[in-house]
Amino acid sequence: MKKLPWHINGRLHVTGTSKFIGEDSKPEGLLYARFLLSPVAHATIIKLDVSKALELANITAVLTYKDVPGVNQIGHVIKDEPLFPEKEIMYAGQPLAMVLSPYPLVADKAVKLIELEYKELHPIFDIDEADKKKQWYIPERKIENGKVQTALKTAKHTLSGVVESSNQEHFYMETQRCWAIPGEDNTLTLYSATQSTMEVQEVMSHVLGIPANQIVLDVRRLGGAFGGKERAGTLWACLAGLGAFITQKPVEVKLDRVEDMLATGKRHPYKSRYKVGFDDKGKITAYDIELLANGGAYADLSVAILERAMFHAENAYHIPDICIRGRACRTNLPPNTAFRGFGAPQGIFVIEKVIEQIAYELKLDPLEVRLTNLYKTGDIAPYGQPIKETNLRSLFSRLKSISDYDQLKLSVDKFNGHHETLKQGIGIVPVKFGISFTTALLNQGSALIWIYIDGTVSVTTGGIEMGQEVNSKIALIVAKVLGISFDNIRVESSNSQRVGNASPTAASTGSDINGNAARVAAEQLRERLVKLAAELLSKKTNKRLKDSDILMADDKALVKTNPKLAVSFPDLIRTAYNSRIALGAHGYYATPEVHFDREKGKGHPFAYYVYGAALVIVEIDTLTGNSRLLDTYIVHETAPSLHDDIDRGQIIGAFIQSMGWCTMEDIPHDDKGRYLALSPSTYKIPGIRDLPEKMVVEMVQTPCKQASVMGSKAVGEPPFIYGEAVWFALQHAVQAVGTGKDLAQLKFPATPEAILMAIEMIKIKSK
Amino acid sequence: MAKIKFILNNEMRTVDVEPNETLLDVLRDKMGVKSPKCGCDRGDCGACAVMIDGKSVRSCLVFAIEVNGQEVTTLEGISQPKLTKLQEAFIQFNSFQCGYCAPGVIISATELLNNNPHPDLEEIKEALSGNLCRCTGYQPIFEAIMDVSRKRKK
Ligand code: FES
Ligand code: FES
Repeated sequence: MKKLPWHINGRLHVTGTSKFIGEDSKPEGLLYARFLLSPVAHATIIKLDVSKALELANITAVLTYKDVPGVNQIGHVIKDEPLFPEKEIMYAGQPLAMVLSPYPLVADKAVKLIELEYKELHPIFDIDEADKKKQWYIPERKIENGKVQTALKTAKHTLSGVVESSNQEHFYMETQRCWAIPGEDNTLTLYSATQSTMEVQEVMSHVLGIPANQIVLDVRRLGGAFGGKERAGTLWACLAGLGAFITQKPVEVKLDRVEDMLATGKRHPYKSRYKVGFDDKGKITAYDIELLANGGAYADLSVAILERAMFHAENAYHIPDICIRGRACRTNLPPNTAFRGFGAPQGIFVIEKVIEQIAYELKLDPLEVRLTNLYKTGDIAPYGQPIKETNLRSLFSRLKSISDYDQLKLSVDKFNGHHETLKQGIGIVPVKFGISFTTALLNQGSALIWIYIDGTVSVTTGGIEMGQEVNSKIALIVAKVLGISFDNIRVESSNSQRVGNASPTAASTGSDINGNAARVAAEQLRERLVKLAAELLSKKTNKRLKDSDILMADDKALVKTNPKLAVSFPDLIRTAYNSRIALGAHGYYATPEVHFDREKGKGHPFAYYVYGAALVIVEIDTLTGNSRLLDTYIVHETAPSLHDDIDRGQIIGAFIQSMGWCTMEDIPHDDKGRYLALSPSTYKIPGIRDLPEKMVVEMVQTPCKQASVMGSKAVGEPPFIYGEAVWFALQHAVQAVGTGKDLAQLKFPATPEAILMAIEMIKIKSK
Repeated sequence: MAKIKFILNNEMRTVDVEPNETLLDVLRDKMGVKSPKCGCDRGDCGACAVMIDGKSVRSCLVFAIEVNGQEVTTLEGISQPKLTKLQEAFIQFNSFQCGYCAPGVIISATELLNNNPHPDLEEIKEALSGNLCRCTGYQPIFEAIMDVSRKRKK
């Protein structure tokens, strides 16, 4: 088999020549932005005087809300977030003023000269307090099926409890940044670290009071994003744009790591209360769940994220009587935001914990309880979408067989029997992940393709390349449609002048939407070219060829029945140009069949689902609380993958990132709401040492009826769920310490301290 | 301001630096060498790694003035005149996603392979333990280095 081409930017990356934002030659007269960030979480501003800072030599400008020419508002769906606060400070780290200078050190000095006086107000950090005080961005949301209260009453067994999960810092390696360059006639070009060119353009046009067509967004690539630049980049882009617009000089906004970790929102912490009813076999008959999200100071994407948490509250399990309620609460932390999984990991964690609880109560193998409850084809999700095809059961059998599950269980039990201080545990988690933006209107995208006179091709889509290799996939799709080699295709920066109104590259839909748009554009070009080729090649034979006789392949247009009869792609293009055939095309794609009625809580929010399951084995040292990931088995459905290596990379990357969330990443704050872990020395993300000893990833590539571009399935977020298996494995390892009388109470994330604490508790109870 | 002179990627260069300027900033802002990246600016992420006299260091922790008279090699220098076996392997294994960590990772791995032609699992993990990557989960990086180690003649 011919090996697929590598990462489209692979060569650039390994030679250090790929350019990130702000790495082009510096524009003449570039000004550096420095910020006065709020030292407290909640306060009324009494005085904000910038005059002393302005007096300093070489300070070009010091800007506050007073300098905003348009509306001081960057909220998108819910308009509750000012660019700069006017009276009320809402979180620690909130930018209050921006200093601009050609000399960054002078700008730093000037920030210290800004006089700020404020009166502190009571800050809210706790979800329960915010909920009690009804600090909701919008009223409670509900998805309901059947009669949960009745079902709970008639259930053979019931349980209830509270489940919490914590925040997570994105830690994209490239921090938030933007270059804003003013042009003629009040135009602005922004090189912004954003996943969402349309949003930045739209919001900025309101902030500056100028039409959208005066603002150009251009994004070549991001040094990681993971959702942290879907919405959270808008603030910094608008600040850069404001600076450039007012001073008419180029401006660089670039956060250092400390500022980035302090001032930007994280993954939402969730607190959830549940009641569950089940029978003797562990079949869940009723599930009443309330999901509370800590949204931070402004709505940001909290409501959409809550919605996805609710859509995934039952994960891979069919529950006949179910009621899912959700409330996203305003607190005085930086606005929490999108992060790979977008609420689904938080919702799924609760039901998986419930499953474990049920298994414990009934003394059943948690794997059996999972199997008992799995969705089957023909079931209907709580929000009314039918499960048209699912292979969850066969994925589980595959997982059992590649991990040699029965043998593994015995060997872990044996190990635990023989070891006093070391204990092992097995954790399993399946996933059913819905693909599409749940805000239906976002499920659209465009692409622009040019074939140049020498037969090389330029493709632009709205897709933002941020490491997920959407550009490689797009190039593969175009290459396949036009029958030309990958190397002749360039995928350009995402630019609002070439592709406008681009939806965020998010929700795992980047390749589906943008890849399909590119496919549509390429198909138009192919149609024109095939027609021309049929004419040309007819002349070389005495038969009148039809379009359907022509095949575009191997950089040629050829006659299917006589492949020797062919015209090379460059010759065909030259002839097409000479014959005045258009060599550019615009493709548009809207995902069919997605809709959701928020009032009723019913609809068909997803184009399809992605399924999979993971099993991990861990070992803990009960004296230190340290843990080790031993083996990992993942069976993940990709459908026919566009590129095996890319998808495998996403699966492993997501798993490890999630393991970080579940076991080591914890960012506490002080009583002023200031985050305390502000560098990688105090905020631990997985390192190479945290890799499992053995990692088996099996991609199931069987064709599916429900899939997307060229039969493939989205891959960015679903595998994030697998990291939760590590948490459950750790809980089982802790459980093995005691006599089994009580279920181990392990906190989230399962840090060494949390593991030690859980061990102590279980020891006391076992006595 | 002080004038310093050092070999940068096989070329003698001079540059004026402030005593408190880091090598990372001078390379990026004054000498047009962009491969070393800033991920933390305090020695914790490895994105800024370069070689000084063949040893990898974090350029955010070194004052530029300290490299006077020494030899500095960045990823740009390693890539000349042609890609190393290691770089080829990183391409073939699709080792990087966003690529931001790549320059630092490649410096660390190059140093490892220079000193130890056949590193084992543990030695690779040790050598790369100071390089953070948020995208890949390290597996494809690790596999590429293992592959180079295996294919080298014993
Ligand atoms: S930037 Fe130097 S180690 Fe992180
Ligand atoms: S590839 Fe993105 S940080 Fe390593």
